[in-house]
Amino acid sequence: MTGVDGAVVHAVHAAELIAWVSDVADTVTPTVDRVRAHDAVCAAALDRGETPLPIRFGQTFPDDKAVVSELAARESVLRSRLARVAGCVELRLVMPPDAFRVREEETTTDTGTADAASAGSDTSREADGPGTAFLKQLARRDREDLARAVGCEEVRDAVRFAAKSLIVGQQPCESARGVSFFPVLVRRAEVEAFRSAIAETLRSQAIPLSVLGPFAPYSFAGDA
Amino acid sequence: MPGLDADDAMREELATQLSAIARALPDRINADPERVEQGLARLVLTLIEVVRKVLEHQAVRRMDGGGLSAEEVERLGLALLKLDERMQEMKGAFGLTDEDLQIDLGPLGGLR
Amino acid sequence: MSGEVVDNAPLELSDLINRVLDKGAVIAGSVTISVGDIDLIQLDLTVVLTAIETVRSAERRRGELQTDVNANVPVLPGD
Repeated sequence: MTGVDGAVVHAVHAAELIAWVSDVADTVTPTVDRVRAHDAVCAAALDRGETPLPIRFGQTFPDDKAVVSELAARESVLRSRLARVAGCVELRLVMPPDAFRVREEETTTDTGTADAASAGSDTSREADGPGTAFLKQLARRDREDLARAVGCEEVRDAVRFAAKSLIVGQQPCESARGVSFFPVLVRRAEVEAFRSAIAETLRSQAIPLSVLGPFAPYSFAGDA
Repeated sequence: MPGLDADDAMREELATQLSAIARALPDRINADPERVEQGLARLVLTLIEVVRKVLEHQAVRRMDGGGLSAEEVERLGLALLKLDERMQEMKGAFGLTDEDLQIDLGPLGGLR
Repeated sequence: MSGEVVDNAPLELSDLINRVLDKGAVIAGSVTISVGDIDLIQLDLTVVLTAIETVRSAERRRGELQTDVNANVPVLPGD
C-alpha cells in the first residue's frame, strides 16, 4: 500500500497502538493527489474491519522512534478516542453548491435601494454598469451562502429527529468551498438502517442533500 | 453615525480575519531558500485575498444599506472588479490554480 | 439518497478536501505544514464570514430601528 507521494506505508507499533506511516519530504503542502492518498490509506484501514482514528493531514515526525514516543505519551487519550469511534463510520450529508438561487425580486427588496414603485420588477431603470453588476453578484453569493447554511441546519434538525438513536454522534453544519454539510457517526452495522430512516425526511426537504460515505471518522477524531 | 459604524465594522471584520490567519500559520516554517520564495508569494497573495474579501463584503453591505448613490455603487464595484481581475492574473502567474480540475485549494480561488 | 444528481464528481472532490483537511487527530504538539498552506485559512475564513453575516444582519436591523426613531425627532430652529 502506498501513501502520500507514492511512499510505501508501514506499521509502527507503540504499546497497544498501531500507526500506519509513510515517509514524506520535510513538509507536506496539501494537493488534491496528496489528500486523496492520505484518505486512501484511512479508507484501507477502515476496510480491514476495525475503525481507525484518522490522523491530521500534514502530521509529520522526524523518524519512527519519534512516532513511537509521541504515541506512547498520548496512549490513553488516543485509546479513548479510538473507543469512541469503535465499530462506527462517518456519513456526511452534503448540500450541493447550486442548492440556492436567490430570486431577483428578493434581491431588489433586500437591497432597499428600489423604491416602492419599482419593487417586484426585475429590471432597473437603466442597465447596470459592470461595477454594479459585480457588486450585485457578490451580494447574491453572500445571500446564497447564508441561506445554504441556515437550510443545512434545518435539515440537520430533521435528520436528528428521524434517525434518533441511530446517530452515535454528529457535528454542527459547516460551510466550506461552496458546499454546506454535516457529518454523523453511525454504527457500521446500522448504516443501511440510517439511510432508510432519513430517506423520507430527505425527500421532503426543499433542498436535496447527498449522503456520502461511509468514511473513516475524521470529524470525530478530536482536535477539530 | 453611519460612517463610523462602517469603519468599526470593517476594522472588526479585518481583525477577525487576520486572527484566523494567525491561528492557521504553521508553528515551524520550512526555511529552504528555493521554496521560501514560492511560499512567501502564496502567503502574500493570501493576505491580499483576505483583505479583498473583507472589502468586497463591506462594499456589499454599504450597497445593501442604501447609503450609496448609483454612481458611487458603480465606482466602488468597478474598483473591486478590477482588483478581482488583477488577482486572477496574479494567481495564474504564480501557478496557484489547478486548471485541470478547475479547483483551487485555498482562498485564492475555490469551488463555487 | 437524493435522486437525480447528474455529475457528483465536483461535489465529492470538495467534500474530500472538506473532510480530510484540518480534521483528524493531532498527535504531536504542532502540525508542520509548509508556508502558504492556505486551506486551513480558507476553512476558517468561510466559517467566519458566514458568522459575521449573521451577527451583522441582526445588528443592522437593530440599528435601522433606532434610525427610524431618530428620524421622527423634529429639527429645532437654530440647531
